[in-house]
Amino acid sequence: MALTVVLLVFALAMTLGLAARRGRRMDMEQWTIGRRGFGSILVFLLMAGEIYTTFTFLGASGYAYGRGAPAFYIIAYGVVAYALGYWFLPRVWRYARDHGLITQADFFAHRFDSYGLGIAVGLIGVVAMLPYLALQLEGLGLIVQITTQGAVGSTTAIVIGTAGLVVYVVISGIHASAWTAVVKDIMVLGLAIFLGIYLPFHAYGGIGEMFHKLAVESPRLLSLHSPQGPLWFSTTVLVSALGFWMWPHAFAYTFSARDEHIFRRNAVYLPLYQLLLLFVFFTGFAALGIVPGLSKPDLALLAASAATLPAWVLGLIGGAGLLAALVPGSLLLIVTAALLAKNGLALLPAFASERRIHLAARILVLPIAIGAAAFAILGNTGIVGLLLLGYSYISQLFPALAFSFLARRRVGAAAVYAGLAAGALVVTILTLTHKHVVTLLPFLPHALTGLNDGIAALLVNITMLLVVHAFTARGPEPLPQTER
Amino acid sequence: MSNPSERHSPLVTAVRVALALIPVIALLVGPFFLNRTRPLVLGLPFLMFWISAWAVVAAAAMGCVYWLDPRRKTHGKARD
Repeated sequence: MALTVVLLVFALAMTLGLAARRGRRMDMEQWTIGRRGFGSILVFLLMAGEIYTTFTFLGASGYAYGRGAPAFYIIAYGVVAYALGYWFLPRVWRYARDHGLITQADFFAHRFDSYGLGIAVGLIGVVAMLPYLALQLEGLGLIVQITTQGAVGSTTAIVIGTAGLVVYVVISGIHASAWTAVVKDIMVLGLAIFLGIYLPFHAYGGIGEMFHKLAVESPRLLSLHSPQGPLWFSTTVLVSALGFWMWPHAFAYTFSARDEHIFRRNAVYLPLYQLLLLFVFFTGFAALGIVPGLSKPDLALLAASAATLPAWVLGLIGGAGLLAALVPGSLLLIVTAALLAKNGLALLPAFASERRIHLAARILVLPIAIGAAAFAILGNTGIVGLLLLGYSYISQLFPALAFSFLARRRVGAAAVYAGLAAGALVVTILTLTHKHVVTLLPFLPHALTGLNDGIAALLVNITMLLVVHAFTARGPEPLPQTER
Repeated sequence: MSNPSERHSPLVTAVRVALALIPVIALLVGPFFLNRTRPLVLGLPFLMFWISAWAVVAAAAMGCVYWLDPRRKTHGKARD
């Protein structure tokens, strides 16, 4: 029964993804960013889809289950990120439209007048996105395996899911992501609210009752404690919010918008949409009363559902989880391929024409997908670590972007290189030595325990950028501030 | 093209920036002082309620920021 429902949802997603192409002539701009033609709703769903991936769906409930209050940072950072986006997304969008830019690397290359910087940014992007894609596929395998109660194994699910992904991405590009995002968000919204209410009532007799009981049973669960105290919370919210918009695919859905007012309007609605995560947290907390003591907290939502719900509902959860992997997965796949083709291969004379680049991008989809699927099947150790590393690298792009908006400081490419290299070096050292800033530098006061390492890397990055800036040539003219 | 005087009202800009910043500051600074489970508000632990409430306030604040945005008035007219 569950298997039938999952297969139906998969078939629906494939049909929609393939139908999304109808009536469109595909070229690189159409394939990657929908020729800047998406309206409010599609851009909203692509942005919001970023929050509700398999990683957050399983991870957010698992974090609440395993750690409690620290999970709340996920709601907070989204709210901060959207407020930030209101001010700078319209400018990035306008600049990209005026200069016909398609990828994030295009933006940095054009803005700082340096093709090399484009390659560097593209490389950081690809390295950061591959583990992210692998993690989506791994989540897909896990969800399908558990919701079909083993009828479809995780490896089979990953192989079939990846094959479907490749077909509809090659054919429809970002249009496939957008169309499936509609079905995905309706399903995820419905199921998250249902589970977030049903499970607490099932296990505790209500949401308020659940928290009353948890507050008595585990008094430390629902507030922050060292090492994840308020300082950890605050700095993690800040770094995550800055990093949120730095992902290459965030630039892709930004560029896909029809006009710049879309970002301003979405900044109003997205914080409310963020509250959907409350229900995801409720499922995580309720799972404590239904399936306590799981060795893998990320399985909390699935295990609690499997223990209490009939097979067809599990099938719906499996279908929603499948979509929650396919939508962001397709976007990651498109953007990785586009970066490699447009900002890497395009350097070679054989890829001089737009058509060749587009062809190359679509061919690259296959090896990228196979690589990510292999990564997901072969083993998960290291993927989460790589993802966190990727996140820290990606957020190092923020100072460069911020400085590109300042009229008084026209920062040049050399300064951006220096800042990026210094920030990335700090991130690499901290990750490889498995140390935090506070443990690495013992003279820092103990009160700084929990300080997010990304903050330290960003400070080094900005300092380096300013120092090199002081000694090098000025950068290009500031961004135009007017509407046109 | 819009009237440039609409665009550069420093007071309106200051109000808009303040409106956008208040929820951000409440979310970043609040947990240092309000890191507690009780009282439960609307059934939620206090810290969880605090964060959720500011998400709602942020939506309202960003609505005001947009409403006060001089660019909003030019939308749909004389563009492209």
